[in-house]
Amino acid sequence: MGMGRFSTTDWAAYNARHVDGRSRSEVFGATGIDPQFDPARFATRESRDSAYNPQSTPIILASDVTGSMGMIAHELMRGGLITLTSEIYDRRPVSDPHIMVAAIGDAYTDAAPLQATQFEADISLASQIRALWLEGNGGGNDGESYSAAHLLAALKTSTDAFERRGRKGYLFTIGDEPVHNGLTAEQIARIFGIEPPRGLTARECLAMAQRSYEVFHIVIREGYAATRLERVLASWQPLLPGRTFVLDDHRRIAELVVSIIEITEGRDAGEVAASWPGAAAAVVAKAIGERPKRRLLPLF
Amino acid sequence: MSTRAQAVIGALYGDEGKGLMVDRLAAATPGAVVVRSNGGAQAGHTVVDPAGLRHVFHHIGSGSFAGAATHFSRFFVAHPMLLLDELADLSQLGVKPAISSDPRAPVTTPFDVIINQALELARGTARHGSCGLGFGETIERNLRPEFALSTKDLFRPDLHARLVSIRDAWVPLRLAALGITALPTELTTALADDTTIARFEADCAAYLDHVTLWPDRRLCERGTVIFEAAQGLGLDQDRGVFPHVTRSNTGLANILAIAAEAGITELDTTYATRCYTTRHGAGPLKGEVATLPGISVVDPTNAPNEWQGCLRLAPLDLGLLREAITRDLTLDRDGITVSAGLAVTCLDQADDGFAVTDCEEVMRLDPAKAASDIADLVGLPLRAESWGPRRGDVRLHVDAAAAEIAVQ
Repeated sequence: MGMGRFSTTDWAAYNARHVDGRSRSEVFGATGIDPQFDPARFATRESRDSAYNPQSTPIILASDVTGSMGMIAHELMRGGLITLTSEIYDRRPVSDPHIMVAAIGDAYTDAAPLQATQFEADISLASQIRALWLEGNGGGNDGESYSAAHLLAALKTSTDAFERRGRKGYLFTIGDEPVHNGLTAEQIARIFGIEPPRGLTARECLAMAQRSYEVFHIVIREGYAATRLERVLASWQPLLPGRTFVLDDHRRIAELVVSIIEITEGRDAGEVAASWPGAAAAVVAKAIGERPKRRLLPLF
Repeated sequence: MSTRAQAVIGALYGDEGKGLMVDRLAAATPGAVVVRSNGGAQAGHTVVDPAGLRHVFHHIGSGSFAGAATHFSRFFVAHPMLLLDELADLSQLGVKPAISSDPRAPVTTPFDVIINQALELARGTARHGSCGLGFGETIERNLRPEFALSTKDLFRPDLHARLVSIRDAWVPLRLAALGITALPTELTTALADDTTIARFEADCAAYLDHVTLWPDRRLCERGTVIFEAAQGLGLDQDRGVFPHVTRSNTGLANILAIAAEAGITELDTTYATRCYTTRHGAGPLKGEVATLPGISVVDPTNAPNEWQGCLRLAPLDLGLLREAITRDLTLDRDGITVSAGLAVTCLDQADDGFAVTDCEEVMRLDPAKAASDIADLVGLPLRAESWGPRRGDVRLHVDAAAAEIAVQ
């Protein structure tokens, strides 16, 4: 033993050393798409029952990582989504959660418009999330290719929950922009490595996902949505009425997603919102209060 | 199905040659993962590779020269302020270890280091022998849920707020409990400077980029497990002489707990000792002498330092050794089969004859036969003896066991 690197005078040196004294590439990993996350290169992502997880429930969390999400995407992919997955593993709002994280870009402007991790049943997912590449393009064309996440669920996942037990999984898309109206045949071919006869509209992509997933969308009220929320909602609400949520504080994404799952599984919405400590309760209550059916409740 | 693992444990006060033994085992076990079962960056395990490259391993497992991966168990205390520097040093030697960590591993903050240093400074000449890196303070703070910080928490969006709370609420509380009323200027400045937190957050981000989160439960998927304990049985928090102990279990206790979680059923344990006894810093050392006749002590790792002073010396006491190991082997094993053996190191430093004691009796040993004599007197099979600092200098009684593991 015997390490005594920090003498008291080292403190000045520690603080003086520039925070980015090391190269970015040394500190941060990904500088391009890792082939293991490229949906054109893998056949299917599997969520299988096992001795540890006999009643697996697939959950897909697909976040917009384009430039308009700015620092939010960065924070989400490097921290927020990991917090979210840990909350799900710890709280288990459904039986034996298997989580996949996907990074959504813009099929018109991005080199890597879609990346997807494996389904994992524990925190080992965290390092896959951090290895995803935040390309940072997109923007400027009033939309992102969220439909790619819907097609990913429909075409590239295979789950015991649905195939053996007829239970749907969960699919959340997260972002600040309107949704592009589907994908062209050329885009589908490039992203998924398959040859489709034609392109698909956003509604068609969604319908394919909804065969085996409960699908939701969360609008983060930052970036594009900070100033043009009506336009974002005009794009999403007709697609996912009652299943489109607006989140004011992006740091509460974990609480909101867990709440939505719990409510869908039958818990009382008010109780679920109230279960979060401190400021989170109000943020979650407001987000789930945005659901149209809640607005129809008589106010006393 | 039986799953077998190896373990290397220090038998006395550290510096027994654990690094050398782990390196040797890792070289004989392709695809091994070295698991840190206790301690933190204050450990210093020296390895010299066959080509003469030398590194003192702090965070990283001592099997890295031999190509082993490293895993930090839930008992390991992570120190983001120091990891990148060690990785940079290793990178210069051409070593890039794959590292994983259990998400529950506690994390040392700059504030634990500050409190640790303030406390040792306040003790003046009555220092406890702490390394000044905040290890014990991290354990103390993590007993309080509102101030606890584990590796998983480094991802949380409220990390900054947590650090501010540790600085503004915990530090004054802890200093008051310790009766420290004034800090040296350097520490006061570091405490007040917001750069300290900013710098630490950057270190944490970098830490996460180099360390894969991986639960102890799935350890065996990463490779054949070699547990590397830190410090020694004489410094165990429950067995050593308080307060001159480290705040962790240095023997089988943590290893058995991790093994049970990971589904390991057989544990091949090597207790390491030099052919004489050393101790760092304060605390009792039976039979302490200024110099050891018949031994030429060579130890480039343990240069005198401000926090721990010089290395202290005594002849090996077989009674103490036997007692420490026997106590460790009486722990509840939770159904895990444990086999134990002894490794005796530094025999090259012994001249023609040197003395060991057994309780009050003094014995002279011939270095050529010393290792097997010591093992016989302690009552354990001899696993290895070292005649120099490199794995090629280890006379192998471990080969058979390692080969057996390799073919599984």
